[in-house]
Amino acid sequence: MKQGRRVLALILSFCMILGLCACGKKKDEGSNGLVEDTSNYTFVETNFDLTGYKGEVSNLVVKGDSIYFRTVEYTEDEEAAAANPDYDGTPMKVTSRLYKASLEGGTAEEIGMPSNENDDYLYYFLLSDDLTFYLIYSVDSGNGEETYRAVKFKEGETEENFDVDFIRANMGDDWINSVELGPDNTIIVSYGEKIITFDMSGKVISTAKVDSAVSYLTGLTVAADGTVYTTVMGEEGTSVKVLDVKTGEFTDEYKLENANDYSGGSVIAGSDGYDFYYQTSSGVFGYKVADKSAEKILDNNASMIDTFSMINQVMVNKDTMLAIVSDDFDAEGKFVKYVKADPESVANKTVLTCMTLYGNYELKQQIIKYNKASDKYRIDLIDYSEKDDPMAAMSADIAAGKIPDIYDVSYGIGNLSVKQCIGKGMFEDLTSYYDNDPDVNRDMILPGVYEALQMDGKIYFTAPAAEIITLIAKTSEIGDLEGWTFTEMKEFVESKPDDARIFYSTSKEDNLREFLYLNVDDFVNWSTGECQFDTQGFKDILAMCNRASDEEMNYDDYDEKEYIEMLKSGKILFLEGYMTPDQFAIYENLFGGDISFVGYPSPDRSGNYFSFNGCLAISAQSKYKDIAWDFIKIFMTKEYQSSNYIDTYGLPTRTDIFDAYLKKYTTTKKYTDEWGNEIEPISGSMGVGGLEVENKPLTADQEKAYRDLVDNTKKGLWYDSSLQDIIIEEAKTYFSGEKSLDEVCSVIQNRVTTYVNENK
Amino acid sequence: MRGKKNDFEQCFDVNGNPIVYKKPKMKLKDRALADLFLAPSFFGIMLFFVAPFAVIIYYAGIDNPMSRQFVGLDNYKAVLENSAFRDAAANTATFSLMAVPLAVLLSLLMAIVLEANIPLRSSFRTFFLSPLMVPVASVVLIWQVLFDHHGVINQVIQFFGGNTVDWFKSSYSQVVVVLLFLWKNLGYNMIIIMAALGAIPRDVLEVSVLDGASNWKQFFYIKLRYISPSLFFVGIMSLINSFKVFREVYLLTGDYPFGKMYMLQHFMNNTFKSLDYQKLSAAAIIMLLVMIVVIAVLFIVEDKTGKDVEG
Repeated sequence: MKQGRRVLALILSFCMILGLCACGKKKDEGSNGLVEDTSNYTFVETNFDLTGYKGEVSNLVVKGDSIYFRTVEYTEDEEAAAANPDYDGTPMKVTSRLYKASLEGGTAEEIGMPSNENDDYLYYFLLSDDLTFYLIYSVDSGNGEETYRAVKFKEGETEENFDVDFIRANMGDDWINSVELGPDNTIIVSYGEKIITFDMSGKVISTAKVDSAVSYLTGLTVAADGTVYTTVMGEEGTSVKVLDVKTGEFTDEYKLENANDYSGGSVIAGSDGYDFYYQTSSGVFGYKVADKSAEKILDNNASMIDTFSMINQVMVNKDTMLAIVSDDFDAEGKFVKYVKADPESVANKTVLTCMTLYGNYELKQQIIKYNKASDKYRIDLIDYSEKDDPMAAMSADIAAGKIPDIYDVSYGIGNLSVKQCIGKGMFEDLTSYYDNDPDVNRDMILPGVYEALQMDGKIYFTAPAAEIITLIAKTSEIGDLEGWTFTEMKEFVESKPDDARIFYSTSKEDNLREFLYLNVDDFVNWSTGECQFDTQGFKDILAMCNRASDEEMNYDDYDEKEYIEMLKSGKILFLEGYMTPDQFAIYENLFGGDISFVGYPSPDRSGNYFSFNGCLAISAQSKYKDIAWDFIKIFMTKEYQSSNYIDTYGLPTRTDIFDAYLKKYTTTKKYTDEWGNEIEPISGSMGVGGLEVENKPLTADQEKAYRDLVDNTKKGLWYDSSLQDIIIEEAKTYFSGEKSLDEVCSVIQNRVTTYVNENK
Repeated sequence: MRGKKNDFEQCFDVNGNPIVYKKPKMKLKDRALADLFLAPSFFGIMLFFVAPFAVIIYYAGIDNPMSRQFVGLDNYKAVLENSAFRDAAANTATFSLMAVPLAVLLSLLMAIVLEANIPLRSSFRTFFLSPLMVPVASVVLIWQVLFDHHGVINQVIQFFGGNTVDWFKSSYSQVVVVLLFLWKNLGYNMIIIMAALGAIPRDVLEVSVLDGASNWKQFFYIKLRYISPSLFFVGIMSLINSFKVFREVYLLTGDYPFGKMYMLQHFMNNTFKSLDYQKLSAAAIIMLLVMIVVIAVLFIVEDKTGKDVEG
């Protein structure tokens, strides 16, 4: 019996250990534990052919078996052009129309609208269940202001004209979120922080407010039974609240799980037993009030849907979503019908995962494109920003072995800086991938960028764009210096009057942060763990920062004009600049050419840094490294960078595209580049500090100076907040006079050495 | 007596027949009931101690939670080669070597003093126990008030013309933590030792007095030997508590304190935050092995010194 109990204990232990070890184990061989089975939530695009309408579509409403929508068409206004021949530009005429069509598509039928003699712009329309239209027009009052008017009409007959300017008049400093028809012939308007219910005469029936300091309203819908649901995003997450329009009180509240992303749990009218639906960046969920529970209806990753591209969407039923989608910000919207796919028929693709902690619009767009193009693989974006606690959720996943195949590393991985991640072997070295790829290689990267991307001779991520961070000073003050050491900069600063500030901020701590943001790596050798915070160079930084006053900086009092004047008069010595060619030209114009990009101090006098955008790395533990490379390399291809360099902020990292990028800033004539982009010469002006600075193409000298700046920048900005926090904490005792410079540097050296040794 | 069998002395009746003691047989119902009562503890121990520990051992042996390749002792090697770990281990060992003997000796001294017939015994006992009731955060606050750079101690030093010391960021930092540790733990240790002192048979002490033993001899040859199991227990508890002093140090100085204050649990806590679970697991196992060795040594010492007075 004793033996039996021992055996039993052993079996139980084994089972428990097995159970714990299996935590997070993947369900199918293709995934890595982060992927759920989405076959039940997969919707597919179906043909929704709709013809017979003109203009850009919006304002989609579904009633019964029909859809109703508004279009706006912009045409050249020949009459206005003839009347004003001196007008610089093309006068446009706006024509608004209403249409009705079948839910199955076909030909749209235009609904005759009441006469609109002044061609007022149809801002929005509301449609009641008995198919009465309320057309809300925006009226140009002639004095530069707009007012709102409404027309109620049914079956082509105008029933009433009335003033709805109360919608705009009650807006205050807010914005209009949504306008809906409420119960008992009311209009409910949701602003950013309040909801006002009006009767048709504009009398306020009730006002509901949220505490604008901690929350704001993101959506509103009215259910068929008249219940008003509104979405509130706040510090404690996102919830849907029920509004009593008579009293303006919120009566019930339903917490939405993991709906804290940009979509903010937008609420959509319910159907098929769901009281309402809500959308997050991961999908659509149906909510049953009686159960206080949400069920997933649609998975965006699996259905290749980008919520950002949706102008309007309606859940016709739980298996059908009709939406107006615009693939590009500038592109016209089109109707797309998504229908739930038969789970059995969902293609069995191998799924890779890509994690982002902060959301990434461009990444999401490219993933959707990739998924649509690939019939074998699918990349799911795991966007932790929508989780209630992104860091905790990510840590729990990693602890359970749910490691993504691709990391979005633009800002490190949570608490870990990029260098720490590399030190821990989390990322795959991409050198061999570059060398073996037919489409991209290392030679096509700008030499300075390539050097900045390298760490210990290896390259760990792709970076399609970069900005240059430098320190700007007046040439008349610093001479021909192209860089300087800490001591040289300190000597320069000390030669200036005592009231001359180093940076805009008057706070010593802010000044130190400014240096540490870029310079901290000059004092740490991550390979050996050696730190140099007790050297003269670091002491010089602290001594320079100690020149600032003890005042905390109040940025609410920021006055750009005063700032520029102080820079010009030498009361502020340096300007920290993110240098793109247009910024470069603005700085040159501001200072009348008396400008030098001396950079931050550095032991090797090389103090300009690249800050990279859109960095992606492959997990060293991924089973699908080649597939992951096929995706992340897209951002380094000529196709990608050539089609994006016009709009992307920062300079492209490929040499060939950089040349085209610079040409864009130097051209004086309109042209079409070799990839079909229409390039306009730089023109117009920009208001900086009360001065009107003309935007002009770069001169040959300016172009050369900018090119030199790019060529001479060879360092990357790798931010480490933990390291900074230790230094700032200790430096405060020096700034307050509690400790001497040597004492403080000694303590910083001691503490940072521990940090570096622990993390190297 | 005719020899031994299975460590039990064989007994015989007056006729020389061996007496056989039959182990009472448990009824099935009783056994089931016993098992039922045992089950919660059994499952609790398995679920919350044994199984997680097995997971830790497993994690320490693989390269990462994703590919789960067995890497032998690589993680242990990496941890042992990490200078931060070595510093933390050295600091923890130094701290324990200072704090544990002091905790045992001072609490013994206090117990002896309070056992003597001194006035206000009961009040002193309550006074020494009171730190146990103070939450850690409050203890830390008190220590900050005392030992901060602008704290009471430095003000006193300045008053007498001395130079201030940054107690938490100097070579004295461990002394400050030792003081905190003693303040917090002495009362508890003292009560345990007082209970042990009170349990020494009075007749033994009275006989020793009749035999002319001095107080010192009585203490060393009788009292110390009788209370050695309790001293051993106090030693073990103090040792364990000395490893847990991280809580106070963390609240005082954060993730990355001055070098001397950086303990093993800092290393583990920070490693956990940086998601390096393999390094964390290996460090935990190394720490466990060291603890096993230390406690085993203490057991051997206790066994040698106290077995003749145990029942």
